[in-house]
Amino acid sequence: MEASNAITGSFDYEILAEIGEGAYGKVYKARHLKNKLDFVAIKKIKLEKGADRNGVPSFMIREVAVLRKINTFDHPNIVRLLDVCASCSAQELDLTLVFEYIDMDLASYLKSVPECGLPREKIRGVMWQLLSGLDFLHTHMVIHRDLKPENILISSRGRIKVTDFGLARLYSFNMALTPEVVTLWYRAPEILLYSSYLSSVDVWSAGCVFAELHLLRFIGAPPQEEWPENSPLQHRSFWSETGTHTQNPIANMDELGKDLLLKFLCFKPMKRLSAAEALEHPYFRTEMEALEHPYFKTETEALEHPYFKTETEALEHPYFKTEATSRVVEVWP
Amino acid sequence: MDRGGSVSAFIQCAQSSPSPHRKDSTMVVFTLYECTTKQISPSKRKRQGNASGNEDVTPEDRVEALISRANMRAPVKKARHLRHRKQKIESMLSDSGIEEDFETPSPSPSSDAGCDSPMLGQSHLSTPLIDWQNFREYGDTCYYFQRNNEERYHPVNCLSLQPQVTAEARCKLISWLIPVHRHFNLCFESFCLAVNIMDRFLMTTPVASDCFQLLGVTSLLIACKQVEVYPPRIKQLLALCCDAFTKDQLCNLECIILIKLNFSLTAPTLAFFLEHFTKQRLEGGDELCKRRLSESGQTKNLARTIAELSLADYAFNRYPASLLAICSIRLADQMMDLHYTISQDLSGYPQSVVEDCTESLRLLVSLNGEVLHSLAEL
Repeated sequence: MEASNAITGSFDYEILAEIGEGAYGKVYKARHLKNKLDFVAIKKIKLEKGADRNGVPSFMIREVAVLRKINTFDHPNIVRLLDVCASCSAQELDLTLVFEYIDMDLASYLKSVPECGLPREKIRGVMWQLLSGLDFLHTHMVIHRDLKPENILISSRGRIKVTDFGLARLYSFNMALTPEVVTLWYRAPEILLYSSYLSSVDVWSAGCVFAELHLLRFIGAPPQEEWPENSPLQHRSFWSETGTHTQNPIANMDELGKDLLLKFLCFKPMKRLSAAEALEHPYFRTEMEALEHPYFKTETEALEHPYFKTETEALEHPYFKTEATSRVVEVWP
Repeated sequence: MDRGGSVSAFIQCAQSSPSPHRKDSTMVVFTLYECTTKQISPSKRKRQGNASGNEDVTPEDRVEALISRANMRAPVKKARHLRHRKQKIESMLSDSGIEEDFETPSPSPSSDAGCDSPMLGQSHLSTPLIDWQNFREYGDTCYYFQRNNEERYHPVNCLSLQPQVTAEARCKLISWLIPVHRHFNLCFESFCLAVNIMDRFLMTTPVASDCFQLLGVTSLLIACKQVEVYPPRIKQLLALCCDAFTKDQLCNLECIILIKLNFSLTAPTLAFFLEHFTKQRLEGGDELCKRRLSESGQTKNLARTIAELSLADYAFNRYPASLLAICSIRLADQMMDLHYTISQDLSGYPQSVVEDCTESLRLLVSLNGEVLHSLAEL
């Protein structure tokens, strides 16, 4: 791994242009001072230590901590954090995150799509990669909580990378969560209804993105039985009749795609597909088996990626077998 | 009687009094020598602490405080003390408006997904809990990854480089953090993470003994920012330290910790493993246990209390969190006189190792019998 894991104070990048602005700082395109062909995206966060601040904001701690955790696995569909520079003076805290540079996000990509829409294989490829990334995050106890086209990068070669972990957090048992997550359009019903939620909220958002790739938005009504009992909002305040399920939401979607979409947008989180299950869905499998479409090269590459190795390795790791004995005994004098 | 007075009494009983000097010193310097020059001798400090404790400190308090200083291995004493203090503090807090501050989400436009939305009128609605049934198919995979990561985040012998911080001081500080995290209604995960952050920082940097308490609350703050929806406010934490430290000092230390730990803050915790094993036993076809769900809930509470004690005691620093978790549950089962105990196979540790650790825990518990009861009631 070329990236150093240490937090450095030095800064070896030359800023080229501003490419985005967030609530706390700006994002720049930059290049490495030595290797001028190495482009990076630099996110600069500057915080004045005002009296009203509660120290370093949670979102910064979470974003960097989550990226630190998952970057050790180097998943192809997660943006790579190359470096962190932090400096801290009496009045200010400067934090600079250096990411790999990806040309475009999915939102601007979709704007450039011709009116006839994206080819189905393209959509399938995007979704497959997106779900691989999600599955990876969920396996490592990370919920992204802000999945939307703006936070999904797409490289010129069609590689999908999930980015922006400002709202992400590690989940665990009995964990309190705030309902104020996910951009409204992509927010799963259980969040809107103040129920508990889990990794399945990301799958809902992925479903929204899936529909959006078909250049459409749609909505259907959940049956009354599935409405949470103690919700502050009543079912009848939204829908006068039940059973207004959208049966044929998207004209240009094939049957398997529709089936998958409805499973993504399943109202009840427990019934909703997980990212891992979605990857097993025939929507992806048939095409995978069908032919060696050049497009799928990336997917097969992804399957052979060390990420999957580490997962199986982890399960077969000697730590969990015989070595456990020797290791533990070692600690004992 | 002002709030400061009572809080400061609370802190002095729960923890050795920080020197009043600290307020006007400008920086927390993490080199041994800077701080030592300002230190007061232990005996002098004791006197000062009690003198500044206002009328709120009763003679019994003083005696208790002295006892707990003398008997540092007994986190129990302090905890018991806290319990009757606690009500007083709470009523005081709501008077002074700090309570509201605590309830309201951070006013900064920060992150937590904009918890400051006006929609959140009812705070109980705003923090739904995940129950383990929701923790679906990823549960087991997560466990393996956590086990794999455990060693990397395990701060064995974290005090070996410390010139001033002793095992007793660590015990005292963590024993104080136990009631503090309960006071803020923080979850056990935050507490475990705080101890882990503190220990790992201690491995990297020498800390002067009069900055040690600041390290404790700062670690707690960092842990809470990761885990909690509403982390405590800095001024609340400082008030608990009798305002012996300034906000600048805390913020600086926060940055130093984050940089020194390289933002690697996602340690697998005892809390995680406790929950995992409890869930496993319920799912694992343990029929007897299933029928007695309520009992297993009680066992879990007891196990958590045992786990807290073990975190405070430096002798248990060498055991990995997953081992402490399985042994805490086993011991809790045995103490509850249940006819079944959790199988150690769940953890993959050899029986001899599990038994050795369980016996050590049993000794720890017997030394802290009272604490256990009072803590369990909190």
